[in-house]
Amino acid sequence: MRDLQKDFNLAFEAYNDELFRHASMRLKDRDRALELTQECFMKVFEYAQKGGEIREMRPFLYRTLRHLIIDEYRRKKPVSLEQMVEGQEDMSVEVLLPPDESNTLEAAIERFDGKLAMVALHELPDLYREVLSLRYVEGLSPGEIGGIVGESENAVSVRIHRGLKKLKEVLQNHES
Amino acid sequence: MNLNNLKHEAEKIRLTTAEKSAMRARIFPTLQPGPRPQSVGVGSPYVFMSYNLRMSLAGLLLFVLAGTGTVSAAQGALPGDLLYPVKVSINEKVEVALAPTTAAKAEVQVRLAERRVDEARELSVRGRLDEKTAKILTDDFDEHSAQALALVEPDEQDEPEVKNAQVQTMMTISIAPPEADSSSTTPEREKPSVKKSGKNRSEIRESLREKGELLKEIKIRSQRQEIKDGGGEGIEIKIELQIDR
Repeated sequence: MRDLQKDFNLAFEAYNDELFRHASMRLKDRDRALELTQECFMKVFEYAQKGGEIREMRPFLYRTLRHLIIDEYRRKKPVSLEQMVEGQEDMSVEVLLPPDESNTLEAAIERFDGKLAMVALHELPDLYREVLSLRYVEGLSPGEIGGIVGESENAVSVRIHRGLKKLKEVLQNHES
Repeated sequence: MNLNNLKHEAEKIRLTTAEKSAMRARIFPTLQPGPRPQSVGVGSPYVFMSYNLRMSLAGLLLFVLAGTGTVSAAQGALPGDLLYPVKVSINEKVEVALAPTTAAKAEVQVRLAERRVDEARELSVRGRLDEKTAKILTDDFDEHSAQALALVEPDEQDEPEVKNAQVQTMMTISIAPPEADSSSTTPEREKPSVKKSGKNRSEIRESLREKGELLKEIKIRSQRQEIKDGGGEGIEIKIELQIDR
């Protein structure tokens, strides 16, 4: 029990900001992001108290938060839900892209001001916002993101690549 | 991995201190062990409560004060200094709270006990170790010692040879009043320290007993020095080490 308490406290101290940030980038509504972050911690802690197994706290928290965000979209934004599940992309082209293609896109996007990049990110479907946020803000690898979103590493890489392309387009539109 | 522009902008999104504090308060009360099934060996729910409150308050205070540099400035404070209460009440409590394991907490407690001895020595060198301060340091030393011993598992068997060998490695804290002879000084590298891992209860107890003796010696020497310097009256020194022997 003592270890559990300690884990809870450490997890809260370690991850509250990044989970809140992630929720904020997904939901836009700061207050709602705060509520879901709190609910995420509560649910995970209650789950552990009931004897549930948590092998790795960080991915578990992210997965829980993800479910809460999906519920939020279902409840309030049915249209956006469609955007969220449009992920059955045709990967035939992207998987054949040269590996440095994403690097080129990253370099192109990095030319823009951070505030503008953030605005542009919010204009993307949540499907892409989610993986781009996890990849470029929280620094997770495609494999780690795959564990959170329930997709293969390859599928995540493709989604990141598509997201970068869309983000670049939005930024260029803003610029023009 | 790039997009540092986005990353830097996103990192500005943070919970405020008040929001974090409020969230903590809402989350942790829900963790009070109630009628829910619990694993074996569940302790008092109030222990849990106090742990969270302690950590929350310590973290909150550290966060608030870190911005002004007060906390870091307090780290080298000695008893009687303006920032010493910050060091003891905030820095050190946070140190304990943030130690990741029970063993690590015990190590921190031992380190804090040793720190009291170092402070006594430092004050003694500066001629600032009066009876009241010595009493405070002794009490604090006893408190940290008791906490450290409470956090380590009792030994299955006592191993006097190993214990004694360990004690031999512990340095003697030198008391170096300005007039003290050089033979009493000890190289810096021999400063007492607790190994990162592996100390059992008897070793910790013995180590703390050594430190307690050193603290006692520092106090006695300091008092003698005071009498010698001031020609004052003799002061009766009472030392009660409350280490669980």
